[in-house]
Amino acid sequence: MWVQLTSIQYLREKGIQVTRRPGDWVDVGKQRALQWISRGGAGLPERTKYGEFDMAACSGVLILATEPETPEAPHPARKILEPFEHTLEIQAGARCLLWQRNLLWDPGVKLRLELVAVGFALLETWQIAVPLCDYQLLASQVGSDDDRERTKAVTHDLRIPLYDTRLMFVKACRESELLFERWEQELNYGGDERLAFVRALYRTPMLVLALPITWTNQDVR
Amino acid sequence: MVYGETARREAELSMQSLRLWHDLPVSVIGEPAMGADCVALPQADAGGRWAKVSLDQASPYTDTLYLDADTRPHGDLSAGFAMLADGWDLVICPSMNQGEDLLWHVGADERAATLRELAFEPLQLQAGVFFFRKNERTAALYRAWRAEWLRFRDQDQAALLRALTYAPVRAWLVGHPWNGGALVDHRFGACRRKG
Repeated sequence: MWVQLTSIQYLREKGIQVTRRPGDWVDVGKQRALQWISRGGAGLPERTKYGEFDMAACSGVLILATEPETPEAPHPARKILEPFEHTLEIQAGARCLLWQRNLLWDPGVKLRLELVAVGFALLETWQIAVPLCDYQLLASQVGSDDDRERTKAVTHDLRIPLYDTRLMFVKACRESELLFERWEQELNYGGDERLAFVRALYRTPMLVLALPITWTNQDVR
Repeated sequence: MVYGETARREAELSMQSLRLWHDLPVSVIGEPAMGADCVALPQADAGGRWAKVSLDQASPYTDTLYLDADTRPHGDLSAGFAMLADGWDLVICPSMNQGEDLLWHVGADERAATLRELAFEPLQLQAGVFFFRKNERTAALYRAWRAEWLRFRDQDQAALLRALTYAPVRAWLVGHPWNGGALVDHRFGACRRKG
């Protein structure tokens, strides 16, 4: 297991004795690591254990839908979320922040169920986690001339990637509420939705974690 | 960062290219190069990575554009500074190596440890060109980056990804033209080649 040393230790690595100093990270057997920790000679990193993360606390999935659902006609995408029906709140409707930690999901993109808990756990650190649309696509390549001009006036440069807002994990906080207000304003201009999001996000500096496109099931290994 | 003759020559060519577009003060870290102030910092590792993860201490500027010595700016880069001024802490480009190529250049042990500890597949960032503003968030990030780099003492990118989980910053992403593209050409590995 990995520990960070707070004392000098002499180790054998690949048959050679090496000196490891305070601040160094070393990967050693559990017994030895625990012995060092108990003597104050090493410490453990404080990390979120994603597997142990409690999703139930104030977390929910909003299925993005234009039509409100009714008890008689629940949203069909609820079926996909069945594994979470006892651990997460699930609603369908227009984009908004209903819980402390939100997954906003457009069923037009395939949801990787194994990443749902991970995504919520990322909100321990980040205010928003959202995948990129593509690794090559830039803001300069989409939208109308007017739309791009409006975007460049905000972001200074159009050689920037776009985000896939069909899937996003969002912590409810002052910045994210501001982001959503601004996004709504930007959408009112019409034009490309991805550029609207980029303008709103740029105007709201926050802790944003860009995710790879594998999160939207593209290019999955 | 300049350590050795090849890096010095590359850095001077990079500065010549930069000078076509900007009249910014330029500093090199490590050893002197023509046309720049020198922040002396003894070489701690073959790749000069320790200098990179110590930039917050070594850079004399509040807002810094960091360029690897083997880059060649081919346009106006002032938008990056404007992004910092608008409230972003770090302006950086995603790597072109994602998915199956994620962290391909990092040692197997470090790659495995990084993916295990992150517990998710991250977006790899390319730390050969980036802008940062000195503040409490980037100071924490650099502290974490140094600590993470010291674990393996190899490349800097996996350490950066791990560091960001401890010390997140407001990072604005720019696209590939900014690093290895039309705006900033990156002759990856040129400093490692003997000249």
